[in-house]
Amino acid sequence: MKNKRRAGGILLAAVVMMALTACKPAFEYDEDAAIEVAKSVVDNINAGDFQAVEDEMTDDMKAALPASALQESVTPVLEESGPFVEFKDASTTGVTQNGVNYIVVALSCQYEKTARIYTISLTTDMKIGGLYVK
Amino acid sequence: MELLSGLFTVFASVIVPLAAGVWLALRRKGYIKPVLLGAATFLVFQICTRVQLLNYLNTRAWYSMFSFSQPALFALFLGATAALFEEGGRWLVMTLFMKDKKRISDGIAFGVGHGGIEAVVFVGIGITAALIIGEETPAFETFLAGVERLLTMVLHVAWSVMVLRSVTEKKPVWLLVAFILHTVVDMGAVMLAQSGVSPLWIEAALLPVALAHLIYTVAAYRKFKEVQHNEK
Repeated sequence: MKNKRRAGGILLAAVVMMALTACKPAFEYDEDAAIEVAKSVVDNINAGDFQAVEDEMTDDMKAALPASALQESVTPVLEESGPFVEFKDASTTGVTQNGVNYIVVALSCQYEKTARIYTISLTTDMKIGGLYVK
Repeated sequence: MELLSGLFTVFASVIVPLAAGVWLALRRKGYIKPVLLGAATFLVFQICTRVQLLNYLNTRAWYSMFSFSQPALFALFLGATAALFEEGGRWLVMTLFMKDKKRISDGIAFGVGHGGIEAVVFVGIGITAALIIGEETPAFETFLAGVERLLTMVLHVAWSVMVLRSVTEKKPVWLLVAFILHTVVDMGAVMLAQSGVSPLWIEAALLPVALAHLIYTVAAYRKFKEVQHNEK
């Protein structure tokens, strides 16, 4: 019984260590600055200024999601959510994809009718490389 | 085709669970109590607790980031919490309210109640409503949802038998086995979905697992039916 408990404890410690190690970002970045940029993106979306959002995108992102397409996809979500109330909390991580470093910001936003999570990927020079709302 | 798949899924997720529950109740062997307790266990320990917890977590940025950046751990979290709430709930309910229900068939009835109400709530109600109002549903995905519900009910029956054995035989290892199996099955399904595996192959992977669980349930029933008969 003692051996089983010990084995269980070691296994648990290993899982926790793996989790903590895996949480370390791939590169250094300014978290506060990334969160502020993400918030400004959401502010522009809430204000209906989709061109301002497109202006901050990478070239690839502009081609994939121009202002008109962004407006078409996000507008129904905003209508369903009601007026924006406040930012709730934010979380970030750094990932490297195809050799490019991205700062991924998850921003929790409270609207009148529901909460939404924006997941915004930023390049290291704070250009929008990805945008997802759920 | 959409209508056929919709009807099949209504059959699998509403008719089969309700018919199984009613049939057990009509046998007048005291199965109505474990059926209802199984259903209540799901409603309390999933719908009223775990689902509410997950709904709250889904509004938190750190949780969203966790799901994005740690997909394997996230899958483990989902699987383990499902197992903890459901197997833990089964154990608690059986310990408190099924002291007089020790037959393997009582465990089967409990699983029918649990898996049955889960099928109705998660799939049955939605697909029935869609059929009634004439809403279009994707035929193949709808069909697969019905298949999944049938396979999942088999799993719930087996896990309920295991947990009942842990209570009646005073062998916690059966509770641990149910917990581990539940975690692995749920985690595996999540990871396959994360990897982009199509729902068809996910259900195909679930099929042998469900068959193995069915074999266990049948074997346990045959083995202990004789013992329980002799104890009478």
